[in-house]
Amino acid sequence: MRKSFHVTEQNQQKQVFNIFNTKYIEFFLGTIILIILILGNILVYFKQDTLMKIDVRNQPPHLQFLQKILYKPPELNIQYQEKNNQQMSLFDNWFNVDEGNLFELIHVPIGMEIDKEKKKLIWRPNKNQKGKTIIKLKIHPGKEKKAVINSRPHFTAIIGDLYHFNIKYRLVKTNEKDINTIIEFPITVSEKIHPLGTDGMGRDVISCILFGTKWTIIPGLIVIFVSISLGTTFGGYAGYYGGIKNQFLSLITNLFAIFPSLLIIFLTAAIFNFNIYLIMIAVGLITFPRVAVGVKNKVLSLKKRQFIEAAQELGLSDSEILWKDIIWYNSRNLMITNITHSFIFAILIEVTLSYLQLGVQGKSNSWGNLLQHGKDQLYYGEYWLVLIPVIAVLISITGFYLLGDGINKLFFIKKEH
Amino acid sequence: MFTKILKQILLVSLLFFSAGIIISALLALVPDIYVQDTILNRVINNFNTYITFDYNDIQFGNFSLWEVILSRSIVSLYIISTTVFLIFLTGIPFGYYISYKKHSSFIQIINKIVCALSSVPILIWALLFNYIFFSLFQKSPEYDTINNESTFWKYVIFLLPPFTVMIGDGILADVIRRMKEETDKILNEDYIKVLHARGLSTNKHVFHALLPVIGSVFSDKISYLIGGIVVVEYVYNWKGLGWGILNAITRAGTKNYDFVLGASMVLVAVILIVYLINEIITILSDPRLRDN
Repeated sequence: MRKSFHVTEQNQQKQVFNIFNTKYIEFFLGTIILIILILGNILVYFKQDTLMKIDVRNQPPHLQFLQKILYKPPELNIQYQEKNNQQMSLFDNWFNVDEGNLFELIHVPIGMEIDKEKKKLIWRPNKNQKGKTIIKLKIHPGKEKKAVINSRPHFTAIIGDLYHFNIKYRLVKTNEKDINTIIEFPITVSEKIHPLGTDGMGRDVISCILFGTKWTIIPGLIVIFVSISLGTTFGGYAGYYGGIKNQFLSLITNLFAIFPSLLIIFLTAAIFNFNIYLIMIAVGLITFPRVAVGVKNKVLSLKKRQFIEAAQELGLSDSEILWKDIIWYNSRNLMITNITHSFIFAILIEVTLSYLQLGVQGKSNSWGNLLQHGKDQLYYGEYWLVLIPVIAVLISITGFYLLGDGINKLFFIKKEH
Repeated sequence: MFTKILKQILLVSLLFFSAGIIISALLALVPDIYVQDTILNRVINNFNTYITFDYNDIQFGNFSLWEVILSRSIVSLYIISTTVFLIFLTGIPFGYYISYKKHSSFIQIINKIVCALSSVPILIWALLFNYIFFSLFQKSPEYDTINNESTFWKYVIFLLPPFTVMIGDGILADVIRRMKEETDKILNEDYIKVLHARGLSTNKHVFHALLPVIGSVFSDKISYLIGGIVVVEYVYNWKGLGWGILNAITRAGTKNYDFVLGASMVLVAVILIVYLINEIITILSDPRLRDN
């Protein structure tokens, strides 16, 4: 009795351990990402334009720590009143740091107060102050000193809230005489909070990313439908029967191998007038030989096994053996791998084509369109417009990889062994 | 041996010819409001241009199309050849090395990290490099800025597109995996075990056995590399064949399908030449094929 209890306890421990096994984690994470993508699609389908929030343009992410990573305004150079009116960047190396405390306001919005002791600006923005305003401060560092700003401030403020803006600067020694430093930095006042900021047209980046999910699921399904159905049929028949079917498949595979697939996709994009759904059918046609070769090899390896010979001896029909015994019972893990790979390929092709202006056109926000727009803004220091779509693409790709791996490990591989 | 090489040359020529027909037909299907011909006439015209290679009469600004294709080809061929060279320097020795150091967990972890990083798409890598360059060094990695940079940054900007193609789309991971598998297979052969047992060096024999594998790796990956350079040229603004093809297809008013045809054929020719070289290496390195 004790022995059996001990065994069950061990089993329970094993089960608890198995929950944290990688296959469960992979399956769980992959499913969550797939559900998010599907929910995004449903939201876009039902809410359409009401989902898109529009506000002040190029507003950086709301959170300060995200701003520090994702925003570096290039115009924020400290201007020195030197003889040649030279501008110097923030990234030069300085030495002999001292504290300074003398500064005055040149241009500030109405209602902003100054706390010189604590080096703070106190402000409660009102409705009339919505938009972007520039704040200018003048620092009098005294003789033979220069002021340097450490942080890269771009503040975002919500109407009605009270804000304390810390102004931090340091003084460094210089050989030149009395130098006044003018510091400029922008503040964006908005009605709504945008955790990931807005783009050049004032669209909320989270809404744009949600809209982008529209171009992930359906194009992926089209590619899967075309490539998997054709690939499995051709590969199955070529592997099982051989002969002309096999020669035809190898001819198509060789022909596709000599073309760069992206080049053919560009041409089909031009032929179909950049209609993404028709392009995806072409993508399916281009990818099907790869799927077919995989299925053919699998069928060839299984065809010689004893259970197939036994099925043939029992008098089962060829189509039953091929579709049921070989493909359905013994090639499901290959199918899942092919499906996930086709889905990932579809997402990547859609993003690449939209980035190259050959895919989704017009106002629709594909992730590729966002990247295209964001790359131009990169040189203005607005990194969030590139990095956030990039992260969205990477997460969705990783999600599909994890889901495919998780499903295979959980349901199919063990059973086949 | 010579008949086998001749057969391969004939096969490559045939494939080149059929590729030209397919691209001519595809280009004829592209809708264009400036062209009033029927699709059949357009196919015939494209095919005529392809057969005669008569690009001298077609003007592309102040230059003939041949000159434009040649100048763009130099840029693209530089990226392709440098990428191949970088893979030869990194992926192949690394795959060979991890096969020898199978039991080192440190090497296996590095292998997994490299493979995970390599599975990120080329477009994403290119944009991330853009971000890193601008945020950390306040530099743009685009080709136009190359004249304003110091010698070190010039080299970096020159090497960035091939490096991006090498590291993206799983190309490096595939090469490493393939090399590892093939080296494993060769190291398990009896004659290698005998050499080991007698205390002799196996490097020469392993390298000889790996030579056709290296050829087939490049032959398999070359079409992916060419797909990658189109993206890289566009992101980094390198005016190569891929950049030219994209411009010729997308920009209204400057649509030039003869350029697309010519440029595509140059890219297909590169793929076929690599295929042919691979076949010749296979024939020469295998005594059964060489002597019989």
